[in-house]
Amino acid sequence: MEKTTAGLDNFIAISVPLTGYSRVALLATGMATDYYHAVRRIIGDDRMDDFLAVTADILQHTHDKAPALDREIRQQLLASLQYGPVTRNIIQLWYWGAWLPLPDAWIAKYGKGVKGNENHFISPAAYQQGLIWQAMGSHPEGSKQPGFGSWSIAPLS
Amino acid sequence: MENKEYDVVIVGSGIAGAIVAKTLTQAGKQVLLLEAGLEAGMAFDTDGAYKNYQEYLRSYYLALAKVPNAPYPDVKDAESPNVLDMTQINGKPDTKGYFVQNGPLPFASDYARAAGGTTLHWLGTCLRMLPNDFKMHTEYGQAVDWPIDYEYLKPYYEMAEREIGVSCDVQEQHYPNMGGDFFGKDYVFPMYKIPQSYIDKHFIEGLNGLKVSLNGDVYVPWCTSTPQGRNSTPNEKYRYAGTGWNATKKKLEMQPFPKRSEVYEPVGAIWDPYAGQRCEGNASCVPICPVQAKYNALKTLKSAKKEHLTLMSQTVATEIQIDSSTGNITGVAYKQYPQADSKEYVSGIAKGKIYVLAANAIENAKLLLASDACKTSDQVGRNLMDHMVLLTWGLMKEKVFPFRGPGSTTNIPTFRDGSFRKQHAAWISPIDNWGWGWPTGSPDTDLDHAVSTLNLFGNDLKNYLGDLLSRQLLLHFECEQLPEKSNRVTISKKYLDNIGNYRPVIDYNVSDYTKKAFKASKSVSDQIFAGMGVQDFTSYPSNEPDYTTYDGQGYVFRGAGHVVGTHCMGTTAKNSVVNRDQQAWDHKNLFLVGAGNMATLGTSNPTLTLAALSFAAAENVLKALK
Ligand SMILES: Cc1cc2nc3c(=O)[nH]c(=O)nc-3n(C[C@H](O)[C@H](O)[C@H](O)COP(=O)(O)OP(=O)(O)OC[C@H]3O[C@@H](n4cnc5c(N)ncnc54)[C@H](O)[C@@H]3O)c2cc1C
Ligand code: SF4
Repeated sequence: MEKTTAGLDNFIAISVPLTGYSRVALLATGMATDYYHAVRRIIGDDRMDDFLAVTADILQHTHDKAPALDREIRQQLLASLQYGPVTRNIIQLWYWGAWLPLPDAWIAKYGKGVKGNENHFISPAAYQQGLIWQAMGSHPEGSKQPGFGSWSIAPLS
Repeated sequence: MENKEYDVVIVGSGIAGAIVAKTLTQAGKQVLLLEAGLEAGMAFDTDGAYKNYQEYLRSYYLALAKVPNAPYPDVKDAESPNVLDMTQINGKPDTKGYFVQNGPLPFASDYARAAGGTTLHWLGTCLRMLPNDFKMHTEYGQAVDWPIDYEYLKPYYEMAEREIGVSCDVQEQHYPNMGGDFFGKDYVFPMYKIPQSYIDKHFIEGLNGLKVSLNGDVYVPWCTSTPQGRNSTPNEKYRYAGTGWNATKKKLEMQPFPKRSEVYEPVGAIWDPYAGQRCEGNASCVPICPVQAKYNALKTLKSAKKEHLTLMSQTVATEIQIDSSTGNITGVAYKQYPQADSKEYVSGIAKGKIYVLAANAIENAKLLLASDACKTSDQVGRNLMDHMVLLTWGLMKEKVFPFRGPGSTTNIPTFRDGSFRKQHAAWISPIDNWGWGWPTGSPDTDLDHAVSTLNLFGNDLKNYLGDLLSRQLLLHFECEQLPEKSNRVTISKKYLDNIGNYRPVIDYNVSDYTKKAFKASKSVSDQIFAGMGVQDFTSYPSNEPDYTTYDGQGYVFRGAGHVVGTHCMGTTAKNSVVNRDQQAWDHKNLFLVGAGNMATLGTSNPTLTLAALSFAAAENVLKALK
């Protein structure tokens, strides 16, 4: 139980620099727990624990501060054959709500026990909470409607 | 049920069938309506209607490709075509989807076989056709003239605008060659226009004064707010409560509000009249309006007179039966399936005095062909048309914030008519409010590109997306297709569905008349983009399903969802399937309704016209029943 909470905290902590959204903004989507469990469910406990260990380490020794943090995210996560695809998927999960299939090469090397790797929205709510809509000054198409005539002026935020 | 004879049997509960059902039942006629779609879609009680619609919405949220049919159940016993099934055709028929596509190019539009029909996922643009659209042969030496003209249709357009609930400011509507009395003195629409988008405002400003050359002529293109079937602020000057049958005059009439103080009330969701009284800006009209601020045919069906209407769902009409001595129709054979995808079904025959086919252009044609009906002209299934949509896209200089509001709120009507129609197709250009969604799959494809290829993350990613997605501009050039004999729907015993009914087999191509319009409209687009400083990102890859070339240039067109022309209206039994009354030449008690009757396409989206025609057809049925 404790491990899960710590894992979730780590997951959210690394998601902040990965997405460019604050911890509060990420929590406000209401999706953090679901995404955390979804990734764990798909890539399995071992891979998830590895990933969280690396990210915790990055956050700790960079003191969660750019530019060191950015460099470490690039070098240790995005450039890594093991962690790169998972990292990119987590970014896209936050922005769009859907899981993308991990590439075949990744599956062949690291994918023992991977389950449910097909392209899918985590839930209807995941689609509705995608950060991409905020990023473009809009709202998810088909949800959180901003009201009559709102489209005729620039977004207020 | 099988033994009862109704006044009228209708096949299909889309807008065409629903208008006929509503008009006839309100005039006191007994109507049986057969609908191929699921029973759940027919629920009109508050709970049932809401629950079913929430299921549609859930499917939409979860769908990876949010294509028009994504929210709606695809039932094997009454399949719907899906744009995702479209591929390039290389020599042999493509049988992957519901359509059997013979090509050479795939037919690019779909429809929904569910209660309410394709208006569930239409956009709602409600333009009238122009006077010259009805006389293409006389004016431009192209195709055919209709047996009716704009003046004939005008009162029915008003009925259709009332039924759909069209929002529009009449004084802003300027079209080429519209004549001095296009709308009639003092005419107003039920509701004021839907506010034009922030993109529109920038676009209109950018376009202002720009001169465009086309075939040696100079045009100054202008923009017009688009009439739409979605709810806006009621216009207090609007005076009509509805449409009714005047039995004495034997005529359909618009009925004024009984009291002067009454005003038009927007028609809300079928589960709650107060939901959806205004368009709330969900920006998902295609494929689904969550609050039903956008019109769909369930609204019309709900307002039919219940005591006179018998609905049979999960009931697929398979054949009309013909008395060979009189040519009269004696029944509609159907198969009723107990649940979705079942191989089993119960057969039956529905009987009425008059029969109305309203299953949409392709399904109507299929039914007629399966029944060996309307054979004299050899026109059934032929002249299949759609608007062939050339898209162009780019980045505006400033942020215009697309992905908000209804799909399109403004159009360029300048090229809807003109003497160039002697040489090439006319077109209308809606300005799209949803970024590059249609051609490139934005916004998630942009996200994937940014993360996977550009290696962006964090604030860089957020800023990149914020900039790219808020500057996306998309223009449509919806080019007219002429009626051609070889663009056609046929049937074959080789291609049957889950319960042994025919699948549509389609032969389809684009002629030079329309290709010339691709070239011309692309040149107009280039001039507009250059004049406005739009960074052009348009590309027409040769591996797209509807890739074609003209004059050394490649083009990709897309379907508009405007399925038109398979049982055209005409002047004689030899040149057409129905007469000007929409009655089959060969079968006096058979009426065909829907866009299949349209002799030519023009540049307006067809539904307002087919709705107007459906009122006219209902009037003719009422006259025939007397
Ligand atoms: C993406 C998209 C956007 C569109 N946008 C616009 C727009 O902005 N403006 C516009 O004017 N038009 C638009 N259209 C076109 C519009 O949706 C159609 O013209 C219109 O809905 C056709 O109405 P209909 O009643 O003739 O046929 P449909 O709506 O297709 O209804 C036919 C009905 O018959 C039923 N049926 C079919 N076969 C059988 C059978 N054998 N037995 C029993 N029942 C059967 C079906 O289930 C359905 O309920 C759009 C279409 C698409 C696909
Ligand atoms: S913009 Fe939204 S509320 Fe308005 S019609 Fe479209 S989906 Fe419905």
